[in-house]
Amino acid sequence: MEEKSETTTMMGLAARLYEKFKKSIDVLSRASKIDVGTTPADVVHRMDKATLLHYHPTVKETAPVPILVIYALVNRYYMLDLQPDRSMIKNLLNAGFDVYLLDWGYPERGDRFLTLEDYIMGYMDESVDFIRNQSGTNSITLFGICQGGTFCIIYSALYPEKVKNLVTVVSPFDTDTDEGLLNVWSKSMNVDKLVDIMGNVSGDFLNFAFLLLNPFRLMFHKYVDFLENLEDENFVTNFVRMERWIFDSPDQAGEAFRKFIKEIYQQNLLAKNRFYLGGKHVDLNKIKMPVLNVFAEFDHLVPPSSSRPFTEAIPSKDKQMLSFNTGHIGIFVGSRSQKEVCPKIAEWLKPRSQIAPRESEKKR
Amino acid sequence: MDHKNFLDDILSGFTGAMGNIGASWFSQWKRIIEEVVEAAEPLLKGEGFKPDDLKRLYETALGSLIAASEWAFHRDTIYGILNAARLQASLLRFWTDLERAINVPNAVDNVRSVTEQWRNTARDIFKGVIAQPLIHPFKGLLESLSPPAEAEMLRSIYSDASGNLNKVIRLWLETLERALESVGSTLSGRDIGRWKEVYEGWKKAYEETVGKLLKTPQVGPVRVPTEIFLHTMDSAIRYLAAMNDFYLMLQARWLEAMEEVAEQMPQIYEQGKGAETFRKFYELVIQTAERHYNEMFRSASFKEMLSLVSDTMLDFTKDRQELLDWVMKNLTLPTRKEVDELQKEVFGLKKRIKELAGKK
Repeated sequence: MEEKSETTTMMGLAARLYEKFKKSIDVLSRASKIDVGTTPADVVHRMDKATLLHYHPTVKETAPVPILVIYALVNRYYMLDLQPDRSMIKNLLNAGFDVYLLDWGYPERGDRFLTLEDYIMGYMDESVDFIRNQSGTNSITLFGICQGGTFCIIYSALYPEKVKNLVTVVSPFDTDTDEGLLNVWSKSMNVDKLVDIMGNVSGDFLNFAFLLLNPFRLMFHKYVDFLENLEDENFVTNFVRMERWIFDSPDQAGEAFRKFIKEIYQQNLLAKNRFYLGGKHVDLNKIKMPVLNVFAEFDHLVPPSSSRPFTEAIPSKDKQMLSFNTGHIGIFVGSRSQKEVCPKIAEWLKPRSQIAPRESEKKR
Repeated sequence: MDHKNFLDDILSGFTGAMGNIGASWFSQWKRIIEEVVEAAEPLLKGEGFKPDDLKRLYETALGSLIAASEWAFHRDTIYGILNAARLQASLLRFWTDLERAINVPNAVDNVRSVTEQWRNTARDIFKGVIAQPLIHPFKGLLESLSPPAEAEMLRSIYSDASGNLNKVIRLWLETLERALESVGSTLSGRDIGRWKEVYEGWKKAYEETVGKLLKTPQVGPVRVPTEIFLHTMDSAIRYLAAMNDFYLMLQARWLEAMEEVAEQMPQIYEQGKGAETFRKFYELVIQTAERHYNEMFRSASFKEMLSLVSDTMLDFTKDRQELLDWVMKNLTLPTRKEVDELQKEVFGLKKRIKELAGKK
């Protein structure tokens, strides 16, 4: 009898697994029309395939110093606005900021000649000037995410007069670390051969490298987890949104990729203060504006040992580090992060953005 | 109901759905319509449906839905789910066998024989479930080798010569595959040296025979395309060989990890029985594999392997592009090189216009 009941239990488990597997298809069919990046925004400026978005403010009076969000070239910016209740963008708007975002678009084969100069001294600089003109301010807040944060560091060293505040979030800086596998692998990459032959670097190929960092968790276990949580509608929609983001990987413009990997990842020239862009020295000593360096303690893509040294490398007297017990993605989408990360960043930014008191605050 | 048959059914269900993903959505839809008509026939004749027919129909429909265009958005996700479910189902089947073995007379002998089966199970899981997503990005190029589209185009020009060469190369690759398969069926994670030995032997033999043939300087009016063709074949073989090496490295580490799992299995089993211990067993498999792979990914030998795979992949891509360029040129179509040059010029001009507009 005992054997039978155990067998039944195991068979029950197998049957449940099979039922869940079948049900997952029905569940996914209902979730096929999910939206991402839904916070309302206008395209206010276009530069080739890049577009500058201006989000609709959610408060009457916004801070006079606008924020320009710079995302990485890898993956898409809507990670910051994945869903209404997990949106760094929305949190910034609700905290009273005027928010712009530079969407790099999807490079095609003809864009493989785009250089880091084109991205940073071209599209980024043009966007900053556009915002300065539109808002009537001399300088703005740069808010860089991951590789976008590295771009913001470079930009701030080249054009310090245009940057009022600099916020970097999980951004690679010092690449002489063996903590992250990407740092380890990129060192032996023959990037010249890769770019010469392929032109652009396939986004799917890079994505595969990211999945390989935790292959069993990311390629198998998360789907088992999904099957376990099929009944939970919130879990399912969050999962589908995340899957959509993960597999939405633009190709990398070849020339920009070549310089970024060779000079920043392999030679670590930025951290050594020997990086040049467009013939100009990217001098870290020029970064004297207020700086907030945010990183995640369990970041497997950009380890804290890569982000942390930036704070020490610059002469700014108003600089601060914020560290959170989360990972590279969790820092943006984790439910705890919504309550901790953005409020703390906003708290740091408010006094440095000369926020006018809101009506409700005036009455007090 | 025999539980083993039931689990086998489940496994074959997953396999069927997996197999369907690869096909185009159009052919899948065609197939499902045919299946529906066939399955509906007894019903129409008043003979009624058999539950198994329904189940088979569902699997086909599932595969079709996955491959259909409106499902493109979920394609990678569903692929992941199917693979994860297959992994769980395979582990579940093994765990059930283990439980049965323990609950009968002479349990010690039975358990020993089942745990010995674990090695075979681990090898099958790697082959059927783990390997595919791990080598996925390289697979696209490999598929184009079988048979190479360019070889097909050139076959019309070289006719028998090309066909024969293809045969030689295929034969050569099959030899490697067979040799590795026979080693693979007996090796465990700890004797990596054995497959390396076979692989190195194969490489040496290749360089001295077919490899030499492919590098022979050509003469006559078709010298240029012949040389390009032979180079492409050579780089394709080197790439495929590197991929085999890569595959075996991943497999060896997986088997090593699963040996460790086998050692810890009794402790897990002692903690209880049924579904709960299975969950612990599953967690152990995932965690052990993850830890082993993380260690391997940091090793110098893995970095070397990654370089070897990407280098041979790029060499093959480059030769293949040259071959395609030659074909395009003969079809009086613009070659990739020509389009590249044009794009570079357009890119430069656009930049110049922007600069000039800025100066105004």
